[in-house]
This record gives sequence, structure tokens and C-alpha cells, in this order.
Amino acid sequence: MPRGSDRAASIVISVTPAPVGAATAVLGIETSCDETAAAVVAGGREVYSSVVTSQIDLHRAFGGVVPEIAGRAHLQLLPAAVSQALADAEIDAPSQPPDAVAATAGPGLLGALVVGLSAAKALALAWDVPFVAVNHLEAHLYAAFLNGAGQSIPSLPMIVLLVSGGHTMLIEMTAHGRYELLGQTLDDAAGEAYDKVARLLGLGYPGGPAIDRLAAEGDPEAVRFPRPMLADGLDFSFSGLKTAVAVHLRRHPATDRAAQADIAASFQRAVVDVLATKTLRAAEDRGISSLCLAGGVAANSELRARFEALGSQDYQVFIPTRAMCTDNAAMVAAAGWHQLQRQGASPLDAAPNATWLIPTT
Amino acid sequence: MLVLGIESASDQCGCALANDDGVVAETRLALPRRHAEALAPQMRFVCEQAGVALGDIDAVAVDHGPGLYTGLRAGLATAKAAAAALGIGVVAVNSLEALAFGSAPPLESGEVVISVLDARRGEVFWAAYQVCASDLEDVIHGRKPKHTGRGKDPFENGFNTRLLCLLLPRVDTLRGMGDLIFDPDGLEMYTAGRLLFVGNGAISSDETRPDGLRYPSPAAVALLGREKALAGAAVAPDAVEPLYLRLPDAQVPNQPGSAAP
Repeated sequence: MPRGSDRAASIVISVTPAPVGAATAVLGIETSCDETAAAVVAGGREVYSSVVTSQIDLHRAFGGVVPEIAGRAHLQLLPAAVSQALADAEIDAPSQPPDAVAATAGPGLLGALVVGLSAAKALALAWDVPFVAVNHLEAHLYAAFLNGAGQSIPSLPMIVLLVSGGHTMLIEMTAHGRYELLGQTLDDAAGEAYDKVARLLGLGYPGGPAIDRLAAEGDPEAVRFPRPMLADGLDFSFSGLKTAVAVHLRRHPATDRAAQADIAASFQRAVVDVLATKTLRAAEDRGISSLCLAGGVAANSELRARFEALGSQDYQVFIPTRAMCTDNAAMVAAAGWHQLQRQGASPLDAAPNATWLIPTT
Repeated sequence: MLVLGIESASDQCGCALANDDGVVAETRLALPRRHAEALAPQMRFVCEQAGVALGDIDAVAVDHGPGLYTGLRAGLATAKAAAAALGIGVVAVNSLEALAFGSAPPLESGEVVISVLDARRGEVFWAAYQVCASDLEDVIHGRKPKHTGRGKDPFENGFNTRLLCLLLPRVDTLRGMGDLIFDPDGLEMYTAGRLLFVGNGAISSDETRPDGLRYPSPAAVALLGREKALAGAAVAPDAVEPLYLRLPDAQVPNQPGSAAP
């Protein structure tokens, strides 16, 4: 055997992993899009700290996230976010570092992912603790397991509606780390439709919160927008709905705030009708009574209200706090803790993956 | 003083350890887009092979650009996080200076090294350094930016202009740069000595670009960083800034309503 291969073999160190328990504190790092976040979560549930630095002001003028601006901002903002998260959690690194470091490795903007992933690996290496590469979509599912608002731990299996600017998915979470993709959008994500309709209404970026606020003043029955694919399966389509709003606006320009509010409310009602109907269909199809909301659009008032109402029926409904629905690092730390417990640390050469799908079984 | 050098502001990424005896370990992966994967394993590898713990390192030197944005961010994120976790300082090393510093063979006093790195989009990052003494130690300290480029400090004008190409009859062109802009008055000071062109932005010619000098080497970053650290240039990790020299490409879209529906 050539000497070189002995050398190469020596870089694989076998460390006896410390038991992963309720006291195991994981530092989570999230830099996949336009939020620079760090958090410390113990036991996959107890949020010791959660720092989210939004870059929205940097991107607003461009009407969307500019990758290079995001990459630069992450590098600039991450060190302070990490220090703050450690300080808030009363962790005195380097003398008493966290027990592990987890970072989002994808999906997301490559130039953004690289920053958090590189920093997380360096921290784990320097502190000599395990590193965990986390899937961002899986992390969103773990927001429901955080201890926000005195919630109980979700019971599995459950149907998760994961809705964000980049994704719209129905997932069956059968057990920790085991997911089945039941349906997803065939074109635009729900959050994307929000952004596009907000632009049509001149509401600016990001569109979700703007439409949510305006919709509260409007009549959701004012305009009957189409409910795309409502009667049909578990996949989604939102591009036609956005077009319907555009066509409506061309014929009936929304000249005052009341008219705009009616359109916002009617659009939102159509989106929520579709999302809720399909989630219930998935639950019935699979015979599952546990429902969960996840992703940035899960911060939407009407969607939350609709799901909360289901809780008084035959369903158990798990809705993360608003702050834990949008991108954050506490969910990454929680997912990292579960992954560490299940399958141990990730290799230090784990690659960022801009198009990483949720790991399905 | 033990310094870890990190170089990833190019298509390669690598690490080196330098102490009183010079470079004791160096790794380099010359494959593009592998920074976020390969840097941390290399850090671990050089330390293990050199028999040192990360905790033994006194400062982290990092190439902070100019260079490829995603690569230099991976290097800076790594360097800042490692230094913060270890409670040590960071030394920012200019890529062009590291490239000139690592140029071989040893240069004579008065000789000039011109570092040219491909900045893509038809531009290069460049700087010229003059050797001020034949003694190696002095050479190290003597390579100052003797800049060029319309008589202004090249770091001031942001390299935004389509810099380049003209230089000397001895070097035909620099790759992909169209018209060279080079201050003729500034040129005179270089004509006495030999000129050495290094970097992947310089076209290969008789005495340009020896192998291995397409990019700054991790060893050069470690050695130069160590020199700078000994001179007191190590700062808190948060104080180190990337050297992009270019604004992000982004256009403000038309205002809603102004576009035709």
C-alpha cells in the first residue's frame, strides 16, 4: 500500500460521540437566503437564543433578493449574530463552547450558503465539537418542535404544509428524518405569487406581509379569483392565479386603497382556500389527523386562522410562532440536534447544495 | 509565532502553517467551487500533519481579495469564525501582494513584480511591487505597491475601468483586457530592472507566470501574514473586511405601474 493512503486514512478521526440529550446545546446558523441568523437550542426544543438579522432593507430597492448583495451581507452580519446568540444563551465560548454546530447547507443561494457553512465548520473545528449540515426545508419542519408559545410536541405521523417564497409542498413526516413528498407546486410557490401580486398592486417587496396587512381591510368575497387545481390531487399551481389578478387589474384598475384591499383580500382567500383544501385532502388520503404549518407563508394571518379553526375539529394542529415560521436559525439548530441524535455528525467536507431536496425515504 | 494561512480567493483553496522556521505544512486544492467543502478538512489536515492543535495557532492570515467573491467569502468566513472561536486575531493579506510575495526565483533589488489576477468580465485586478533590497528579509518588507493605472492608486479607483494591457514590449498583452491603460510616466521607473509578471490574468511569456504562480499560494499567505502579524497587523476578527473592489451587479427594476401591463 502506498504511504500516501496511510496518510489520507489518518484524517478520518473516529471520535466517540458524546450522548445527545436534552441538555445538548446546538448552535444553529442560517444563511440560505436573505436572513442572517444564529441561535442556540437545547435538546432540539428549548430555545436559549435566536438572533435574526434581516437584509430586507438591502434588497427592497431591487424588488427581490440579489444574490451578490446577500452574500456580502451574510459575511458582514454573521459574526455579530453568532456572538449575540452565544451571549444571549449565556454561553461563554471559547472556554465553554456549545455542544455542536449546525448550519443550513441547502437549498438556497449558493453564495449565501457558503458563508454560513464555512463559518459553522470553522467554529466546530476550532471548538472540537460535531458539525451538522442541515437541509433548510427539513429545518422548517422542526420549527413546530420548538417550545414557542407553550406548544406540545407534534405527534407523528403528521401532514406538513410547507409554504415559503421558494417552496409549496405537502409532506408527510412519518418519523424524525423520514419524509414523503405528497404534492408540490408545479409552477410558482405561494410566496412567489404573493410577491408578484404585491408588485402588481404597487405594494413593494416583500409582498407577503404587505398583502396580509392590506387584506385585513378588504372584502375577501369582492372578486372571485380562480382556485387553481382545487378539485385535483395534491399538487399546486399559482401562476394562473397571479395572471388572473393581473387581468382583473387591467380591466378594473384598483385606483384607491379600498379597491386594492379588496383585491388583496380576495387573492389571499383564493390562496388559503387552495392550501387548506389540499392539506385536508392529504390528511384524509393518508388517514392522518396531525397537521402542521411551516415556512415563511405560515406567518400569514388568514392561513394561521384557517388552520387554527381546524384544531377545533378533529385535527391536532401545530403552528409555530410567526418568528419561527420565517427563516431563522433556531429551527436549524433543532433539526441539527435531531440529526445528530439520529445519525451523528456530518463530514467536514459536506458541500453546499443550492437545489437540495428534502430527504425522502 | 505560529500562523495559519488561508487562501481561497481564487479557483483554488488551501491552507498553510508558518512558524519561525518558515512554512511547515501546506495543502492546496486546485479545483474551482470547492471552497466551502474543502477548506475545513484542509485546516484539520495541516494541523494534524504538523502535529499542532488549532489552539496552538497565534493568528489566522487570510487572503481577503481582490479575487473571486464566493471564494474569498468562504475564506473570510472560515478565518473569522476560527479566530473568534480560538480567541485570536486575523491578518488580512492582499491577494496581489501574496502573489508577488510568493514569486520565484528570488528577485534582485529594483526588480518589479506585477501581479495580475483575472477579475472576469474582461477585467483584471493588478498591482505592481518593487523589490527594495536583495536581502530576503528586506525584500519581504520592501515590496510596496508601486501602482500604475492612470497615475492613481489602483486601490482607489476601484479597478472599475477596463484596465490594462500595454505594459512593455517584453510582455505582449494581458489576457482578455483590451486596451491597456498604463501611465507612461509611471513606466519609466520600471524599465531599469527586470519585470516579472505573475497571476492567471497575465499572459504566459518568456519570463512570466512560472507554474504555480497563477494564484497566490497558501504558503505565501501564511508567510506574509506572519510577517504582518509580527509587525502588529493582526486585528480582531470582526475588523477584517473583504476587498471586493467592485460593486455588486444589481439593477433597480422599473417602478410598478411604469411598465406596460
